[in-house]
Amino acid sequence: MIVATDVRAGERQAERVVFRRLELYFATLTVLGAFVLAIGNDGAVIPMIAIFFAIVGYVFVDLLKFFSLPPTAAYIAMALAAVFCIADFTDGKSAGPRQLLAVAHLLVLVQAILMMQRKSKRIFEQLAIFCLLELIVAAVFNHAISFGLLLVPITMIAAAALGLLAAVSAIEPVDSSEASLEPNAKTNRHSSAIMVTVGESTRSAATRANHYSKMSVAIFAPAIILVAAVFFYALPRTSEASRTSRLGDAMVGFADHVQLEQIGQMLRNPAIALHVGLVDRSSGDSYRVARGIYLRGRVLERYEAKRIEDRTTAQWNALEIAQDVELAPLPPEFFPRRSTDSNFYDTLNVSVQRESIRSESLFVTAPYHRLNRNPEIVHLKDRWTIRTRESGLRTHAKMEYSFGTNAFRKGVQSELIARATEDASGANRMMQYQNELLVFDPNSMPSIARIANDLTVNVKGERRSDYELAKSIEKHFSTSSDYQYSLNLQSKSVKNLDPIEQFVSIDRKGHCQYFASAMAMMLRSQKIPARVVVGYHTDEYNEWANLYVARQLHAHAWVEALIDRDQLGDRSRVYGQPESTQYWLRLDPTPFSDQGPESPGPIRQSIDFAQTWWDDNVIEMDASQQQGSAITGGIHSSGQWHARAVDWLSRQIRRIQAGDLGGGAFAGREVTSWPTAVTGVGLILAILALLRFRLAKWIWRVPNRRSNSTEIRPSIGYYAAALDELARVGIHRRPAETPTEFVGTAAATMRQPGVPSIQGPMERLTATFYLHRFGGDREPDDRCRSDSVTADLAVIKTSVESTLRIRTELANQTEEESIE
Amino acid sequence: MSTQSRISIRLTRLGFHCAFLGGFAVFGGAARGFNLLLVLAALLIGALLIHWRWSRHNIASIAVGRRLPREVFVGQRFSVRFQLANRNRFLMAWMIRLEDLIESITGQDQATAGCGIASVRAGGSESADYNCMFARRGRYRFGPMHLESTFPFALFRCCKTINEYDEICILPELLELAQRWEHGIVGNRDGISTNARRTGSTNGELFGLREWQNGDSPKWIHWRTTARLMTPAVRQFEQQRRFDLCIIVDAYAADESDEPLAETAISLAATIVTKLLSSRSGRIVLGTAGSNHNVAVGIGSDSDQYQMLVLLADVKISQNPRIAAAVGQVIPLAGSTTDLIVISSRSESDAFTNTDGTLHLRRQIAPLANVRWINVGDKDLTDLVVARST
Repeated sequence: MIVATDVRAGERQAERVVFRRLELYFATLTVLGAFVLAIGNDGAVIPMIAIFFAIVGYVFVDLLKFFSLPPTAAYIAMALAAVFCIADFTDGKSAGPRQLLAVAHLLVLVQAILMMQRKSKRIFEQLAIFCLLELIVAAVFNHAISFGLLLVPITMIAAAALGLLAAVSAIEPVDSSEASLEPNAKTNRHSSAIMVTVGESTRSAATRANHYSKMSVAIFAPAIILVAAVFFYALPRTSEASRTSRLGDAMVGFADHVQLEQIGQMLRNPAIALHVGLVDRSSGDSYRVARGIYLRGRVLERYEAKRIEDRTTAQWNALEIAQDVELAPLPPEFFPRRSTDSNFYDTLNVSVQRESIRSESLFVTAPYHRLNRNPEIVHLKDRWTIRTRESGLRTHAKMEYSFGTNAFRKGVQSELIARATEDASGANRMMQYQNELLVFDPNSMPSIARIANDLTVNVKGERRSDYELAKSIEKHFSTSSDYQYSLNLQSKSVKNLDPIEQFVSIDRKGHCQYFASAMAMMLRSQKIPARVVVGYHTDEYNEWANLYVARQLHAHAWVEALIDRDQLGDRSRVYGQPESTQYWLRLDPTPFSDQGPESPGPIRQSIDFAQTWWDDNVIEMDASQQQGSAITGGIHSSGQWHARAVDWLSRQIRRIQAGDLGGGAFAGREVTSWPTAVTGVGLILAILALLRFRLAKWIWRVPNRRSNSTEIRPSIGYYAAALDELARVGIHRRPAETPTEFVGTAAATMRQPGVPSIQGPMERLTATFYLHRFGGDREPDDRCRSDSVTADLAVIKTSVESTLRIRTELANQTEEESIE
Repeated sequence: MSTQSRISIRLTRLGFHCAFLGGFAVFGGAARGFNLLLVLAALLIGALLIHWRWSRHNIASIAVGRRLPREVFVGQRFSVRFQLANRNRFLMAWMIRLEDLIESITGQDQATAGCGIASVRAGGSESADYNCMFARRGRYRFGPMHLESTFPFALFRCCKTINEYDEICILPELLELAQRWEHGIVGNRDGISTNARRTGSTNGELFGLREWQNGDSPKWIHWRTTARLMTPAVRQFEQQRRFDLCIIVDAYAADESDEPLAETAISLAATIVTKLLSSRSGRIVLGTAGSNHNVAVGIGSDSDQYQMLVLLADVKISQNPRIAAAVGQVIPLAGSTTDLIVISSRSESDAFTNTDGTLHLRRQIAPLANVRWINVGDKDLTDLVVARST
């Protein structure tokens, strides 16, 4: 017997190349899986373990084969790792991040142990499953875009690795129990009398396996992504998305009480708070602003200084409001009496996407008007702010809303907002409110009063109007080199000194809230009603999403002074708003600072865009998103394509239901109805199915029939005679069958006990036939056939007759049995 | 030959795990609002769904045909070839495994052979093969064939069993004969070396030229000589009809330990038959005596040679071979003047002692002119065969 060691060595070599690639793939998957776990976690040790064991396992176990962990030792090590990791579960507390971290550690340790074992198909499968488990654990607590970004290479590598695993199944030798590569292969019933080895096709498949596994990724990935997307977006959601319901990420600030330092803390946080889309209604294009957008969130009227431990601080508070009077729906759009007035303002549609927040504040550019009715949002009349009707909640979920505004002209936001006029009772309340805005204690803030007094007259010695005075105070802060913008407030609090007074007289450095507070107090010292407004001031524009982005570090405080119309001078004509006797003048005393937020570069913008897309379309997909019902409706950010798709589909279905499809071409009237349509479609499908099967059969049958009918009869007499004899027992030579092939078929069919074999005679006849047909020998006529040909024909005839006789006997026997 | 086939698709071990984790992710994600779990579940379900549909296509559209060699001897390595046709006109089939069951007709030996096919292009065909070698003669059945694929993600295993069977006869092993082996089998050399001259056939060596006779084929005319003599001359060939021989194989084995000797006897007979008939000019009558007896006559054609080898491949070794019956059938065909060679795994005396119907056998052999008994267990074999290296 030949020992085919060389053959086996060849086939093993091809298979080993595939295995090397598999080992590399799974080592990479081990590392990537651990990275996914580590991203949403504080466990920096996780990727370190994975990287170390992946490299050691691949180099020393797989490549160099220095050592490998025996299966028993591996099981013991896994058990020890499990005991070590689940110790965190025994403290009786409910499941939390600590437990998840323990699970993450366990998964990584088990993968590390698997990497130390000699690789087989089963080990590869286990590595794949553990990588999947890591993804599942990471999916619970990791919502960052990094999960999605890492998911792409993991999926690709896993798909290629599984493709190779499938290829190994195709090329592995049957007697793989002998193979070192597959210790647990199926047992083969292999006899020592039969030896089989793989052929050239298997070796060729092994060499091409890697290529095909990569190709399969390229070919199947789009189909899988399509199916996955349909599944993900079509799966009915019954619960709120976990991210929306979580409390940890909610923004802070913009409550009814804002500490003096609070805005400063927010200014260090780069988290995105708002996405604001501005669309010019006339052109439908995105609208760009020139000096940033002021988005007002809260209006604070009452200043209060208080002492906490050894330091004095202050806070701005919102006045209590009469909810039944002050709260109203968003005002309707203003249309000027003179149509030409509309040339002096731009009408914009504004859509805002607000992240979850710990207050009911919504952010707007005033003046605003409603685009559609939304009972969830209320308008605070004299403050020109909006908020959700639902108040008192600890956290308010992410929200989208829209409104219209006439506040811009050529990219510049208007600094004046008309104060709403009221009836007599309303006027009284407005007066009370106005008086609250004049509260000022000159004794606690002497420097403020003094500076304001100095600014009341201009260089000519004339008293300034209210508007001019407000602007001069604004200029005093924003342009004077005496004041400095700073977030580092290390100065020590002076005992019994008001913080604002200390800011103006001693420190002269602070952030926007200090400047706004000081200015508001200065205005009040001059009997000009003033209030502080907190919100966002941003000019960060994301080119990818065509949206303005407001981060927490864009939080801002500014001042609004109530100016009588006659004090506005030549600015008394305000376009885009109804005329009023009083206007709120926006004043921003904060000087320009180098410490201000830098506009992010294109990479950062693209990451932000991706994160937003990820949050909108994946993380926070829930029932409301699926139904395409944004809270206010009418918002058209890029993150709602699926909602628009659902909307479009719903509209089409409604149109079909209304018989309006195809511009009325399919309009039903009395003839077309749903039952008729369904019956019609069913009939068409039935006809198609009938045609599909019958036609196909008919098409296939015709050539078959034709091919059967054109059976070739040989021209050489004795061979034709032999075929005729065989035809008597139903043996026909097929058109594509060579005479030599026919010998085997005929002999096998005729082989049965009691019938002389026709193998020899047929072979001799065929050889002679070849000689005469192709060898150039003259065909003998029937009278002078050679003896051997005659004898062979006689044998064939005898065999045929014996077969017929046996068949007849069998038939008779069967008939008799059936009669009995 | 039946070609009925059935297709089955089932989850692999990995596919089962993935389906379980996918289900867990669906319910966990939907119940708790973990959308990333749903993303993972969606990817798993997408992969499972696509794989399920693809693997069915991958196997269902493939038709397979097997091609076996006509003549295979024991110890000879040969390829079993397959032709795979992809009936789908649009989609390629990838990474298919083909397994073939090999089983001896007696059920004594069984093995599974396999080969991998990288791809079969849409509407095209591809060949595949595996190598095979048999250590025991006899008839073997190939089939059913088993196509399977776990491509592309090893999550589903799609299998198709094709009940297509083929049979092959593994012929006895051929031995290497010694240089003067003819002397070893027949003492009277004249008995196997008579020459016959004839004209025409290509099966012989050129002997000379002679004058044209009626009935000679024009193809035999030697034109140059004809031109020189001015009278038609034809070529005359010599066909060596060197033997008329009768061989009886006595496949006797007292127990299993004797079976190799009996196999050697059969192999020796096969070798001699092959050698003598390859010259296509002799006539041999072969009789086999095992648990049954059979006779074949060969006159030198390939088919005769193959038929005799098949006869030898089918011999069943017996403790009581029917040698008398075999001799009784052979003598009328061969005639009493023909040399008779008995190739046996036992000595002549043992055969006459242990055989049923000894008297009958003696009576049959007595009239024969020349009888030679070759005991392969004895030194007789060394005269005939070159010793095999172990």
